[in-house]
Amino acid sequence: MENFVLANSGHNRDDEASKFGMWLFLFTELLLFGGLFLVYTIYRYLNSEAFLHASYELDVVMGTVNTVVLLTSSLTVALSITALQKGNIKLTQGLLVATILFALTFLVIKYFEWSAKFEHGLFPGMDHYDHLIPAEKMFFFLYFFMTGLHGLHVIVGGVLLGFVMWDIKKKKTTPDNFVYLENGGLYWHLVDIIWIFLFPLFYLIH
Amino acid sequence: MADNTKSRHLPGDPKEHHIVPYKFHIGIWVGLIILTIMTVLVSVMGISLVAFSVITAMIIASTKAVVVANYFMHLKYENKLITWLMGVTIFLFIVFIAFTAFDYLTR
Amino acid sequence: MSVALAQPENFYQAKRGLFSWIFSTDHKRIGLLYFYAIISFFLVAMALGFLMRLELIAPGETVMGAKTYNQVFTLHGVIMIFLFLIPSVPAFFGNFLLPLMIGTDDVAFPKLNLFSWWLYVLGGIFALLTLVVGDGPADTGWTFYAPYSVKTGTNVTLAVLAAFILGFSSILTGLNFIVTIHRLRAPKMGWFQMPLFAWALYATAWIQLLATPVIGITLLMIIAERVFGVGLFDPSLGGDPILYQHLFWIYSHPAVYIMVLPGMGLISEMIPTFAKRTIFGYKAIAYSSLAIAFIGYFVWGHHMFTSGMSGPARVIFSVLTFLVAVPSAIKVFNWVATLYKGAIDVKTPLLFSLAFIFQFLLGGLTGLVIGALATDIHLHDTYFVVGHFHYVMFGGAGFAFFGALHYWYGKIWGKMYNEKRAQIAFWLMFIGFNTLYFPMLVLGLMGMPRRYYDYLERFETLNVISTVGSWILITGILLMIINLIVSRKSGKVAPRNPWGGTTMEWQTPSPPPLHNFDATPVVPEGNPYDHKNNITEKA
Repeated sequence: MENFVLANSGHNRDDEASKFGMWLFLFTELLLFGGLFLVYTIYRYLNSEAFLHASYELDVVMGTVNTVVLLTSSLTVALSITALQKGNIKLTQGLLVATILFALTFLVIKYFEWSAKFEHGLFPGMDHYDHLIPAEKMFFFLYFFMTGLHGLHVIVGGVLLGFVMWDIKKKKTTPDNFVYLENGGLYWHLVDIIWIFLFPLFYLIH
Repeated sequence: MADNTKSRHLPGDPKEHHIVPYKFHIGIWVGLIILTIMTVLVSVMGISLVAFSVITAMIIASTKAVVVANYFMHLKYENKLITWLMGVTIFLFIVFIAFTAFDYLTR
Repeated sequence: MSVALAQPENFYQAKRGLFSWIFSTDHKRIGLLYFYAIISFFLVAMALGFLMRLELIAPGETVMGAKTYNQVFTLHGVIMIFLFLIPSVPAFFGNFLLPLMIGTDDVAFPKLNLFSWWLYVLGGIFALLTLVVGDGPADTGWTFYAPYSVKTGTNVTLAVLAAFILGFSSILTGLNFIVTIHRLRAPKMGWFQMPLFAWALYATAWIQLLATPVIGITLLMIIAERVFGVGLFDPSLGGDPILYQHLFWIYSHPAVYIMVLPGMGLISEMIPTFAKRTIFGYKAIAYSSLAIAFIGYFVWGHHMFTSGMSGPARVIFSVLTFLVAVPSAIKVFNWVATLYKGAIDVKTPLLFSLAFIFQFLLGGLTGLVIGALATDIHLHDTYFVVGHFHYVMFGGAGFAFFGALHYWYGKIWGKMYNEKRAQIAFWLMFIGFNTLYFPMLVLGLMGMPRRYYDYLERFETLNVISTVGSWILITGILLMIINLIVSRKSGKVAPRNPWGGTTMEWQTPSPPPLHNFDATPVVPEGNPYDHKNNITEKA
């Protein structure tokens, strides 16, 4: 009697539930950025000329390269799931290392981009920024806020994938039990999807 | 006792894990890169198909997002429920933008 | 049931010590952790409300000045909304009851559940820290309207951060419940065999999940504005304060349904039990929960009729607002129809439920008055609004919470409360509540503006009545709490099913064992409120 446990226990393994939970979390992430996209939409509508003018300050080449880097990292993480499903653990680990390296590449490029903006004094409170018209200030602040928040998600995603690698090493994530890898991958793809929208909205207003 | 060897199965769950071939993923990636090049070209060279370049850019970005979700994120092979709920989320997001924009457009 | 040996160890006995609580992943313990935190915050905010009413007992400064008053009503609002109303029913009753009601032993992600509680505690600490750090608590009102919230010297940053963290906690609770309901229902339980409280939680969870992120990012923007001195919502710096209001109410209007929907779920549980009748219109009530949650996303603009939003937008938001009344009314009609020709057993939980129906009705109908564009222009920012939302939030959600506390008291703590004292407390609360808030509706119609520590002399009589009402109400609340504390020691031992309830939580001992059930629970056939199927009549 004392040890009676139900068959449908919340402590059982349930991969579908874990994935479902991850998807729900991604919905909240979408709407978190959604609030920012809303602000962006309204201010761009109100100040389209200024946004256009300010966007020329951004480096299309760096933006494009970063887009390619993120898309490729999405590919490697997707491939790593296939590799693990096929039981090829070495390849899985290699692909995850590649993904994390791509994440770092993205951040390094972002660092150079931001540094260039800082040198131009375009961060709030800096010299050049203070002399901009309000609408252009809005553009640059949204640029820093949105790419900054996105960068934070890149870091979180990279760390998550690092944890998954640790799990694979500890043989907790295996070809029979890989929901953590799937969930880490899902998060990573979300980071990619958000960038897919940020890129044209900031770099490609022409 | 907690049973952690096998995952629970409910009606509507995909029967078994779908293994997406390597080559298929690489094909998807090539498609995404082509779309990226397209969106950059449209913008830089100003050759939008529609009157507004922002609409073209958003159509391309949405296409890319759908491709990533469907194939990289395996949405196509999951329980249909997730696709539906994703639709609800996107619908609400559009409502938020549309209603707010309506206020600004009619002021 | 007389043989004590037949009872398995209950979940209190299974483990002991402080760490077995604060690091527990058991949904029942986490629910109780929430309860003790929530009720403490409630008492703090109630004390603040008492002070506000005291200040308003006479025109001019009586116990506090203008700035202090502003800070007190802000803190009262922030605590009541983010620390009491939003978590109260889902995080306490939801956590404790949902797995029992759908016949499982925990939520889908027990560790995440614990994490949510820790986030809640962290958010609560941040909110209280605003009292002692820097320039005192925020004086903006709980809405943190820009641009004032960006310019005031008070601790807005910390308060906003607290709300952000609490929002995160709320999101994770909602996520957990959605997955739990989808994945962990007892094997034979279909969607339409679920108790209506589970339906209400499900609808609520979707609001928590899909609306809260918007306020999260909005609050982050306020913090960024303050830290970097930029003008996202400051008109002198090119921003638009109305955009802040849009973002704020995109969340905060659906959030009022986070507060009241689960309360409606509780009412749907209590009424059939005490009417000894199956619920009238089970499916209608279930669907109306979803409908309220859904329509709730389209009406946020009705908070902004006088803010400078465009005319056509105001008209559309006003029309859509009326739609919400339809599913709300469906619920009320069904509850009343359930009572019709029932064998009504007048116990405290039923009294609270009836008070809920009465007060929610008043709150809902006054809501229509301010949802209508023309009348709102007159009533906006008057005491009518204060009266309206206290009728819905306290008279509705709050009374449902306290009624449910009596209804499931035996299930949770294993003893029965003292019925006589409980009824006295109820009547004090009911009379006190209406004496406190009804005059506010009248004051609003007379034109008394809200959020001032002072008022014109012609408003004095009604304000005095209102303040006296607050004393009666608080006496009732304190008596209720004392009764519940005393009954924990001196009450009679609670049987499995003291009320003759039909849902599955009554099939297990009170309090439940660690894994919730001592045998596989029987899923009732058809709808869960059919008294003919009641397999566990009063023990």
